[in-house]
Amino acid sequence: MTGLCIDAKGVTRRYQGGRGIKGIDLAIPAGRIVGLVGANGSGKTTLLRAIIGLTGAEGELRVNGLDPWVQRGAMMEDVTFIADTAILPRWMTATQVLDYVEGVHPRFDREKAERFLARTTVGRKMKVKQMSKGMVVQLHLAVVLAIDARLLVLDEPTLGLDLVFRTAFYRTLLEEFASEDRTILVSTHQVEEIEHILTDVVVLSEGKIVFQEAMDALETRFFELRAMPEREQEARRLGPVAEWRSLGQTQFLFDLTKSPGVTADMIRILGEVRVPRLADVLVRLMEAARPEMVGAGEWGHSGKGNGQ
Amino acid sequence: MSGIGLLSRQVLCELRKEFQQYRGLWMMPVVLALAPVAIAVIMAIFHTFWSLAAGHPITVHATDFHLNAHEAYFRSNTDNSIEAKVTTASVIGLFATGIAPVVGVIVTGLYASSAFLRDRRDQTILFWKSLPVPESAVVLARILFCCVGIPFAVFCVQAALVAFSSVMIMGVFSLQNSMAGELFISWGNLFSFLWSWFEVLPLAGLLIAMWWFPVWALLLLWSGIMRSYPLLWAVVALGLFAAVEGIAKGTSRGITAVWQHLKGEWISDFVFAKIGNGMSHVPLVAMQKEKLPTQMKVDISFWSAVQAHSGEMLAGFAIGALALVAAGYLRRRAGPL
Repeated sequence: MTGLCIDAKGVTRRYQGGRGIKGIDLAIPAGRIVGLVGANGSGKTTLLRAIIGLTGAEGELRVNGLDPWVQRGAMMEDVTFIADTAILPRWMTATQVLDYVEGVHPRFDREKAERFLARTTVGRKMKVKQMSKGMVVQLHLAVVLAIDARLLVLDEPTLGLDLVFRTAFYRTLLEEFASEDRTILVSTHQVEEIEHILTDVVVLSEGKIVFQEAMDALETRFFELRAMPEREQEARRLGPVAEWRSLGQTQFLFDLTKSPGVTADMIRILGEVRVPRLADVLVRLMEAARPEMVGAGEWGHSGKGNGQ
Repeated sequence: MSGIGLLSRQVLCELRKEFQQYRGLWMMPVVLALAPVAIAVIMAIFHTFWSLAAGHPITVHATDFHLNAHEAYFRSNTDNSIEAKVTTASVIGLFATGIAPVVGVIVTGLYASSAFLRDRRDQTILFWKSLPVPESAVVLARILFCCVGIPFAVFCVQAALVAFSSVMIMGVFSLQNSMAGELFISWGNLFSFLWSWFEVLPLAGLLIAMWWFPVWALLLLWSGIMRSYPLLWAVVALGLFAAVEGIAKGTSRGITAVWQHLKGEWISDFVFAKIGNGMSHVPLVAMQKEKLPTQMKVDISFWSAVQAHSGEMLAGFAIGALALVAAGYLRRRAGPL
């Protein structure tokens, strides 16, 4: 046992056309809620599938101390996975789904699932194909939450759901699943909706981790500066990782780990400073990592670093 | 729960899932076998009322029905005779028992040749694979569905048809006998003849399941390899195989051997011999018995039938087992297409 929930060293999986993941190093302790963020094709799904043993990969990968490819059966008793809310078999009724999972999963608590479903509008005899997307999510959540697992892996779980269901989905996860010894690994595009529940964030770009940080550390590491016009040059000399113009003003993003000797106080005297939202930081970092992603107009700015 | 206990439960759950998901498939032999009887019964009812309306009273003939070791004869339904209608429906029921296995083989072939390809084409494979079900459980469930599940459905409908026909025929027979002053059904002819069906059907089903095991296993493997039209490509591959052998050696032994195996003629020989056991004085039955291997001529039992073909059966089991291991390996690596 490594003591880590997920321990990856040099994990690589290449697909034709150069896609995949390359040399991923990741160490996630138990009890964390980790957001896996990246543009389309950045390797999020490949990494998640390697973690749950759906695809083989080079390098060293352990999930709860087990090799996901070699010991997948044993590992999946402790891991649950939602790939997409719409992937429950359409021909099945809610009862058939519960019957099946109860039969095959040694750690499934049928009563817990029934209790959860009792709070929803999902009919037991209703087929999945007759359910709305929201109901399918509720059924899938009932299944997942009733499994006594230590790791929950979510790959774009709220794709296609409206705001109400997306919010309810994550709230339910927090209330029913998250605990000190349970880990959640979630990939999503809608990072702004989950940043308040995350404890860590990992950013992937072109198959590599370009940024990995605990959310607590973001507040002391990143600063967004709306510089006074006469002090813009001074701000540039401090080495911001990104610069862009918005509403006629130049703005800078500072990563103190990338600017040795620079302190928060040195930045504050240059203008209006605020702690950036995670989504803003990630957008800037991803644009810096992939300059071709930078748009025109006010979004055009100089990428000066590549994150971590 | 022990590992084997859990695996068994998972296999059973997978098997139940296959029954639920492919209900249309296993019900096909059931429906198609029941359909002719249902049509016969409906037509008989309509004919009865139509004849009554036309002024023909319902009649019962005491002498125009014979079904025993020597002959099968029933009166054609020229008038409104009730026993002729019942007997017609019953005989159709007995003949319909032959429809179920033929349809069963066809639907099993369709199922096996596309089972693992369908898995990969369906995004729900991510749901199935999110659960701790080993590939061995999935593969076992699939082959059980082919070798036990669909054959069981076939057996059930055959048993139901034989039971229906038995009750109908014996009812008419009793009626006739009672009209002729005899009270009991003769154990020596009709009843034993019908009862032999109940004995033969499960044994024949078991033999078919064992004989076709390598075929279904190979088709399952094929479905894990192909990315489109697996059954079509299987036929093309067999055609190419035959063509290459024909061109290179001028023979057709390979394809003939495949065809002989698929036909499994010895199983139908076993069935006829078993049903006709003790009726060697009937020329047709005697002729049929001559086709049997010596061992089966002496002792027409299930085990003698298995022993007479044990070499082929063992080879089939070995090929089938290898194919299933390979299919499991491929499924392990398969993601959605």
